[in-house]
Amino acid sequence: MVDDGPIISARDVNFFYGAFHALRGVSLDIRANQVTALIGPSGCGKSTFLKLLNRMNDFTPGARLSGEILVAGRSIYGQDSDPVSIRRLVGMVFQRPNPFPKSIYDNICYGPRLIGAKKKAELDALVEKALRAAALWDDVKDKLGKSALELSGGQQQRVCIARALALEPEILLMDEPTSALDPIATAKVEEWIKSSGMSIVIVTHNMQQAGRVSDYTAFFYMGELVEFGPTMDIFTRPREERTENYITGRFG
Amino acid sequence: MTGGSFVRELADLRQKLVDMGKAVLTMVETSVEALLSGDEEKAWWVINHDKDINAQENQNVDRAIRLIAMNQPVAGDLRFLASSLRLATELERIGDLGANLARRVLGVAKLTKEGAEIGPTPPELSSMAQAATSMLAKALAAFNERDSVAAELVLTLDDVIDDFNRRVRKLVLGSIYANGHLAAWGLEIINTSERLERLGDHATNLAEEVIYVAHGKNVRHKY
Repeated sequence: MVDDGPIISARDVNFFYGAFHALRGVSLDIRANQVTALIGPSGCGKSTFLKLLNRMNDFTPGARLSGEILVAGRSIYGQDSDPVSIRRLVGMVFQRPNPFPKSIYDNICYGPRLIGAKKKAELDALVEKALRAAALWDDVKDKLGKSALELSGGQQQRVCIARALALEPEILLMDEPTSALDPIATAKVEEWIKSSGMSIVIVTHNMQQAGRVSDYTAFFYMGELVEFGPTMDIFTRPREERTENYITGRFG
Repeated sequence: MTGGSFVRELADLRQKLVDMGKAVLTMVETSVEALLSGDEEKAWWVINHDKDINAQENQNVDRAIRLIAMNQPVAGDLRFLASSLRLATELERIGDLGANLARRVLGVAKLTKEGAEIGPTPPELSSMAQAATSMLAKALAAFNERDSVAAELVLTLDDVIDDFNRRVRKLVLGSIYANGHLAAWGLEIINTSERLERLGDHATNLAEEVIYVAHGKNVRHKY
């Protein structure tokens, strides 16, 4: 995989939910075309940080942010930035598969249609490309008209990945994407993550998963970024005692 | 991910390796005593003890593999368990060397009984045996205490042992060149010296493992 330098740069990011200081001075460069895992105990700020990367906290009451986040060189909280165009650049896959109650085909086309894609040939090509990229094409190519809700959990999650990919984002955010899946479905999604070649930021509670799929790992604790580095280093010789205690299960 | 029982089992494995270390140190010390005194009984004790060490190696390797398989360890736990596999093997080889040294004692005793010519034991061999035993004791103490600074010091001691080996070899070869009848005895002494030199290498390996477990720094093959 090519490492092309940072595609996301967070600079001294502080984030508050009302009086609660959820992120404390987080600065982090996320590298292009690499998988970055965000780990840490519940409430450490990892999901908050992930959601900031495509402005998912815009409507959270009492939310306040300071610092700067650059995505592909653009400040996404700058005055002239538009959340819709940011979300085209930064796709997201959630914890539970959430396909629309529509056909597989219509799920994938939903975003592209919203931004004006109409021609059938164009949409057909786009559906195939997105499903292939999500490693789902061979499973569903003969039943594209079938409801996405009839698929297995792992297939539904890959429909959601394909739906996100249909807008050709540069970055994919994944918030515990396999926590609702069985081991086989998890393996399929993990395989996709590893082979995608995309810039992916994944929040996971599963330490082994972070070890399996990511190139870089960031450990958050109580709103702070404690340690960031190549996953191999974090999992074999972390520099910080708090990282060691967390990943070896000696917290609390 | 890791419960209290995993932490207890790690501590238990560490203690088993410490015990195995004490056992091989006793074997080496006893074989050196046998070497310096010619005490055949002590030599036989060491030889008979070796199978216990072999069994301990298997048990400790099995323990480490089971803990790795069941707990997917990371960071310090992973380094310790990976190292345990090597440590158990190193300790087993040290046990073999102790038994080998004891066999050389029996070899010299047999030559004496057969009336073969026996040369004087070079004083360097005694010094070497003491230095090698002391180096092993220090490496094991560094492991027991998780003391990477002490382990770094152990790494500096191997050159002394290597130098003794060269000197013993030269002295014994000199004796053989002067009197060919000393060849059988000389071979036993050179063999003994080579075993002691290997003992220094294994003590070095133990010390390198202590540094790896402490810092994740691989210093193997650098000394």
